[in-house]
Amino acid sequence: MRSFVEVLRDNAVYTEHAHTFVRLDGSERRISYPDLWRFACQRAHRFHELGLRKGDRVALIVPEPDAFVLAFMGALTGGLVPVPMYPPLTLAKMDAYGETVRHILRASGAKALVTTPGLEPMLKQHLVLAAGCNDVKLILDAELEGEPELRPVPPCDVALDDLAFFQFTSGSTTMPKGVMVTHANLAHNAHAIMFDGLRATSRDRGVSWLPLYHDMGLIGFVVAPIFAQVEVMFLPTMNFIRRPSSWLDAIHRYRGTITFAPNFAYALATRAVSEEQSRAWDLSCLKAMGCGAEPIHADTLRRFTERFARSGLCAAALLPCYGLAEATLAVTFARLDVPMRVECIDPRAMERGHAAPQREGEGLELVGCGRPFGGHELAIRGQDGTALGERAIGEIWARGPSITRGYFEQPDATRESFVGGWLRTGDLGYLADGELFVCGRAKDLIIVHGKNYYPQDVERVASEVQGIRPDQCVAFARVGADGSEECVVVAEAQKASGKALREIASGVKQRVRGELGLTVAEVVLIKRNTLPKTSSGKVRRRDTRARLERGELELLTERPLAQSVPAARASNPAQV
Amino acid sequence: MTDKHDLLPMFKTVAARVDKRSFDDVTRASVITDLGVDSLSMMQIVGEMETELSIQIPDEDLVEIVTVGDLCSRVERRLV
Amino acid sequence: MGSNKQEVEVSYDVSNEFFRLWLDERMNYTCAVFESEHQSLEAAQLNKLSILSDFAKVTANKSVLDIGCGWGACLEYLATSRSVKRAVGVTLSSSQAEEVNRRKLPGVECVESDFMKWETTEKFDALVSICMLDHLCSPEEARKGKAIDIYRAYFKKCHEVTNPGAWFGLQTILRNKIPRIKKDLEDIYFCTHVIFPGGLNPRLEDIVQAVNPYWEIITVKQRRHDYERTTAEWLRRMRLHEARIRQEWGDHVFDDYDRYLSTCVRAFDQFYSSLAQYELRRLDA
Repeated sequence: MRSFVEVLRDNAVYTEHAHTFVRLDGSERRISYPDLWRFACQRAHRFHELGLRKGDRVALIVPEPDAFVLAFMGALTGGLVPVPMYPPLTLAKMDAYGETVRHILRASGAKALVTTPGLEPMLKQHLVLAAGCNDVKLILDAELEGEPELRPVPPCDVALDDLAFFQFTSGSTTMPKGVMVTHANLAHNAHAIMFDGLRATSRDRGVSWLPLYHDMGLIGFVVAPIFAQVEVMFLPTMNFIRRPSSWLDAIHRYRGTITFAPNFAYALATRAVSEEQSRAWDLSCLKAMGCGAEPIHADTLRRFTERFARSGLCAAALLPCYGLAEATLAVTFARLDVPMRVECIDPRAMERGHAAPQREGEGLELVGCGRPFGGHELAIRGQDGTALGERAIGEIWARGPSITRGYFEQPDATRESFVGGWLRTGDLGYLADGELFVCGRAKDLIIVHGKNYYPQDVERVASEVQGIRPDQCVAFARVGADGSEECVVVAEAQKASGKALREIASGVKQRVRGELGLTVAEVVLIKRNTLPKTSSGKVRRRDTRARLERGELELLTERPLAQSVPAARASNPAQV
Repeated sequence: MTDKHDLLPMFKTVAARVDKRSFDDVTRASVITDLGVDSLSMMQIVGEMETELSIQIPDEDLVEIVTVGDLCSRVERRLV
Repeated sequence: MGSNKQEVEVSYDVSNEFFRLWLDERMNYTCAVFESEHQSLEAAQLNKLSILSDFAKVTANKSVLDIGCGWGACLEYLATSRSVKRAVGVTLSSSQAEEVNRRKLPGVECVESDFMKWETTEKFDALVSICMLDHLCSPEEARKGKAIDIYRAYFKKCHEVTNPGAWFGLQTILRNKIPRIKKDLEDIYFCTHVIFPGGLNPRLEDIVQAVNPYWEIITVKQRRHDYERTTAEWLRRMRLHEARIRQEWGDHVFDDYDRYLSTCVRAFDQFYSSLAQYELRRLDA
């Protein structure tokens, strides 16, 4: 099996193939396959000239997709270990951002940081302050540039056993940890995604606005398509967020066949694209619309396919999948050309750890994420590690060539999650006829009176209440005054008057009790845009809980005196 | 060989079955190409004899076969 | 002599457009090597070229000779992906030679010639030859026991056109077992007389004997199932264009190639045929 670098080199014969980068100013830049290789070699040499050597970590904070991709490919070609990091999203909260940057630089042992002139002063300021980061060499992106070599030869060999890059996990549940991804991991996962999952050929075309500093955008569109000679159009993430129609419009114009997005993007596109914007679209070219990285709601996807059916969108193109950074990117894919599989599960049986299917329209809807890739394996296990049977809910364990080497210089965390060749994903799910259904994260379970509730479900129900900003809420457990676990909801409210707020709060309690049979102990309403999120927009339940306890949330109402302590981890049955 | 197969009658029977005509006059000295057996039929005859006797004759052994006797002796060698 | 010029023209000159319909985009008409269960033909063809180039120890500062270069997929790969300073191809087919030279690939030259009679003073640092040796020996010559001598003459010629220290990435189809089933026999007879007249594939032991005293075999990789998959994929793609092929090239072209490719799939599955790749080191006096 060839490494990414060898495939990038071999692809140079595809002279008419190119990636297209839409830049922040709307202009487009095409970089041909031979030029990708030549630029990668040129930058690889440049890194070496700047004193970096094989195995050295180099952090990347580069907002423009084309500059980022070339720097990333150049680092891999030079045998370096890039550490992609997200750029600051706003000028506010710079201190928190600087803290994350320092943490990642220290945790990765980065020798250098590549960035742009715009970000340099701010980053310099943060690095000077920080112990352990003073000797990080700042490299401006422009310093890497140069004429691509006419007869490119990489500066060193890269083997499959070598480290490829560090993927820092979003830190939904803990502070970020650097996942060590090897070239073998990349090659195996890319093959699984492109060939097993997508049956891609050199005629396919990808379209992505996903951030490139996260696994789905980075591996899914920068790394994997190269293995199948698939051309990609990259859109800046902000373009999609500001103008959701730009995503589907690009697919229509570029005749995209493959795209990926988290659940929220499908909801956003359904809501925000106007009839007029979509009138001329022909989306029949799409053969795969991947959906992953966060809980998948059948309803969201159904509404999306119904909305765009008149643009020729094929519902069977929807491709729910499951994966995580510790497994490189993806572990399962639903089958191509088969409509998504949805199960309705009895919530009461689910609380007892069993996924009993019910008639359509009853119970909780869960979306099938497909089967593991060839050469990969899944198991559902109980808290003591024993294998559970069909339809039993337990922790998802995964095994195979995509499972990474663990967390960089974190032997304890690595030992906890990487057990005898298996990866403990920390996610809960069950298998039905070999197909995986994901119920939530084991660590975030809410257990009240011995019954398991999934925060995602509480959040989904709470989001439906009038006055709550959709998807801007989190649910978590804490230990109540009587020592038993109870459920708290923190949500961003649209209205500010006291009476309206009281109504919203009681609405949430009623709705959750009505649909899930769970009594919410407290509903905390906070100001717009203040809910803690990860860089990819995922809610941070533990962080929110911690901030609530410390009184750091921007409340809209006064709270009764805090009477609780954080839920003890030992109360979670899925945890050892 | 104590339990010696008489391979000439077997050849005649198999050839008759494959080519759907009589091979009664054939002797071990008969030249195969003179019998009007083309190379395709020849390989089928070999295949059927292999199956009946549960043996495998390597292709290289078949290269220099000219007479029916040559074939019989190649087969006999495999029966040792 | 194995395949002569007319026979090679029969094999490859139906029309480049016809082959373009079902080969990969780079027009590799030889076995691909698959790296995973569902890999695309395009990616697997590049992998094949990568393996043979690695066998030949190709680097940018070397000059490479591709014996039997076809439509130049390997020359293009050597010049662009491997950045070699000079890549020369030899083919019997004039239309292939024209096609390759028309593309003006940097450092690439394609010579229309019979390699065994090709006169050159140039010495190369590396050799690649993909499924060309398979055409050198005719069935009649094999029956007369001349196969080894013919192949040995080829390896001698390869030795003559190389510098000391040269390496050779070789790929050949192999014949293994003659079928005993009538239909399979007829199909294979059809392929060797209608689609690829003239050549009889070597046996593995022929190659092992014939490389001496010119080359040392360092590695042999058996790729039978890769060729089964390659031909099955060609067949699948060709059938997608059935209507157009029947209309533009006639029923007989579609029917002949359908039968030919189906026979190949079965021949590799049944181990009537196989494919091997060899890493050869030049024996320097």
